[in-house]
Amino acid sequence: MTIQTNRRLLRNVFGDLKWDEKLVNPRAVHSYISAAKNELKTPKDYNEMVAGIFMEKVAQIYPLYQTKLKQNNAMDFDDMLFNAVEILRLNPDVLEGYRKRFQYISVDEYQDINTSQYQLISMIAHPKNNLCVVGDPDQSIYGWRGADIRNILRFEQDFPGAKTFKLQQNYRSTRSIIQAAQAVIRNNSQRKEKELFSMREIGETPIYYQAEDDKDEAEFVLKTIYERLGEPGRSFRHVAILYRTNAQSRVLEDACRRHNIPYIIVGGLKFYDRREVKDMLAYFHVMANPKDSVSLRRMINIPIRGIGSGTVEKLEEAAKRLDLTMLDAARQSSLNGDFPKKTTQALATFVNMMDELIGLKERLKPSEFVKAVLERSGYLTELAADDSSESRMRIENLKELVNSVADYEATAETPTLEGYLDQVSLVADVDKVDDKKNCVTLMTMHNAKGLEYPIVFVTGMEEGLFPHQNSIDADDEVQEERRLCYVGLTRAMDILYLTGAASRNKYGTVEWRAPSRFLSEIPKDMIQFTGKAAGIVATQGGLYEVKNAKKKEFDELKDPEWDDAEPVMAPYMLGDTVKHAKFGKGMVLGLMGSGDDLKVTVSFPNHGKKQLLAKMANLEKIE
Amino acid sequence: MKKTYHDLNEEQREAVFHNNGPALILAGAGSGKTRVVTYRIMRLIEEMKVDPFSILAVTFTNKAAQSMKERVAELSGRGKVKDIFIGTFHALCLQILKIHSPKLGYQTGFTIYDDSDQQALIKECLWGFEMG
Ligand SMILES: Nc1ncnc2c1ncn2[C@@H]1O[C@H](COP(=O)(O)OP(=O)(O)O)[C@@H](O)[C@H]1O
Ligand SMILES: [Mg+2]
Repeated sequence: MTIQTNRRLLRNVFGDLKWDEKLVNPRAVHSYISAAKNELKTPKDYNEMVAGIFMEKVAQIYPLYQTKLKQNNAMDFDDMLFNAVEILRLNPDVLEGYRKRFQYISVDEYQDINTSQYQLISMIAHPKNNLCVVGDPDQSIYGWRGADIRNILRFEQDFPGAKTFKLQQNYRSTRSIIQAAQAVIRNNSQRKEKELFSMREIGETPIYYQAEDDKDEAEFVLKTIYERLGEPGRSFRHVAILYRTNAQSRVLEDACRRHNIPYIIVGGLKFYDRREVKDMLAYFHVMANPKDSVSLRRMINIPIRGIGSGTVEKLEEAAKRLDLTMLDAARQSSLNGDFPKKTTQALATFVNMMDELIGLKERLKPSEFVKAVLERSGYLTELAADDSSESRMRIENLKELVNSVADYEATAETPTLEGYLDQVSLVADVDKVDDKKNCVTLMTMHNAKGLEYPIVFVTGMEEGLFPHQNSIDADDEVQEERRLCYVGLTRAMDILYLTGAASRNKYGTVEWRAPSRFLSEIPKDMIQFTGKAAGIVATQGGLYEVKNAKKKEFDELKDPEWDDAEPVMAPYMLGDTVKHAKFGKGMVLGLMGSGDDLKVTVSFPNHGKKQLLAKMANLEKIE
Repeated sequence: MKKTYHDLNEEQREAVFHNNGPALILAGAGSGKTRVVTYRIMRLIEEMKVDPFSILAVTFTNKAAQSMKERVAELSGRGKVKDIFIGTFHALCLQILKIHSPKLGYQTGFTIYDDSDQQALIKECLWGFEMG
């Protein structure tokens, strides 16, 4: 079937659905666009491959989004790769320059590169192909983000004459850790068996602790850390606590605090994501790139200057109409007196401030400039006026921002504000891991790739969590989860603990959970089972929900602290992925009614389109 | 053979001593893959007299880049490391874009939107900006 008829067909099927833009999930849209860019698909290419009503929507948004990015003189992360490839593709002389420059190329973790990365590297490496890539197909864990394991499997075809080297000795882990990890990964059908042996001592048998619930799990982890740190030569920095999803960190973090164990969370709120820091960065972005209207909108009325959202909207329109930056549009409006007197005054003051600051930017060192912005903008004054502990904390963070600019200045060859902003935009979660600080590290297994720790806890070994609910229906996705498990286990050098909870508090309700299938894949003599709830047999069946009677019983037992659990989930949005007990995973394509009458239309790959009463359907939203 | 290569095993050494042309190092966890990359860079500089400026090493994270730089510095000396390009794909792209993005119609000083900026813009596309 051609895409054309396909599309017509879909329109017939979905013709009755009204798309209410307000209900479309922006995150879902962005992840589709992101996937397209990783595949080097332009909006035009994308239009050709549309299948399904949601993709049609994305196909409308994608070109619009690109136009807006361009108008803002901005790129998103995926554009960075897309555009770099584009530049090399369209400019043979530029490509030639990089080919001449990079005579020897290596790529680590090659199993996780995506199409655009592959394209970039192979273009530069060509024709000499002095390209050395290293990787492990068993550790490919970013398929969900567009990484394509086939890149490493195809290497010998893509680069004729390639020489392949195999390394077989593991230096990191004890024999019993390697045995257990191998036992798990062997269950993946899509893989070639590789030899891997450790010459280290057999070491301690990995321990599995079956906890009653997530709190008991966290207690066990922290108590064990305390015990093990009593042994000579061990300190906090030797310990990592790993989990499948960031949501698991909260209970573990609370336990660290209770036990006074210093810790760092990778992937929590980044310093640069804090409100006051982002506000300041917005000022800098506008100075560096006057077209950046997203940043301008963020800072124009912070602190409050009497430039309301109505005014901003009009400025935006004027800027578009006259092809000006928003700042220039503000300048013109304040001169023309396009607005009521008070607003005109406010705009004039704002424009003056910006002009003054832009002038300073050329003259001052970045760190001094940053201080000047803090003061001249009135931002600090406003915070200082509000003498709350919250404001004091924000002021501290802003001082820290000045320090970070000063640090940058000390290391950069020719420090500029733009250079600092570039550096900030490249900072990723995992860069927070600091080997020098003596603390326990909490992070997802994805973030732990490539790292190693003497003592590792892999927590949340439960069906529905690990393997994740998201992946349970599709065999290739379960295989990716299993690779992730292999990555998790092989982070451990000396001592490995696995933990799982029999029940877990999720969005205010208790869910009963079966132990992860990955546990049952480790032969009994290679792992030691302990724990309060030990005895529950590992089943392949997966997560079973609380039966009403059982739940009641459990509610009576439940710890009062659980009442402060996260609020109930937001209702569904178009584009959300949801899971139905019988139909499996599907995408939300329509919403009707509200409250108890809310009807959700979901398209299930194997069952077609269904309209379900939300109240009855028990759809689980999948992040 | 130089003394430094003694902390490599036979297989690792073979990979490190691979000279020209494509090479694939395929191995399980903890087998020294990253170590091989690091030693190879050192060898390129020390023995093959490759100009550090013409070496590109792509890592998965900035942190991995940082530790690789430190290792190479230990092995080959500070001075030589600073010219090697060791960094993530994004860092490499940024370097290309800094110079050449005007060819695609961007102006210098372009902004890289983070997650929340991206969301704001998508919302703007969907809803117009007053709702975002
Ligand atoms: N030949 C060797 N002798 C001693 N230790 C080694 C050797 N090769 C690797 N190691 C150590 O083993 C651990 C894992 O090496 P790494 O390069 O991180 O492996 P991979 O990248 O394959 O996961 C590191 O601590 C490394 O220093
Ligand atoms: Mg490695």
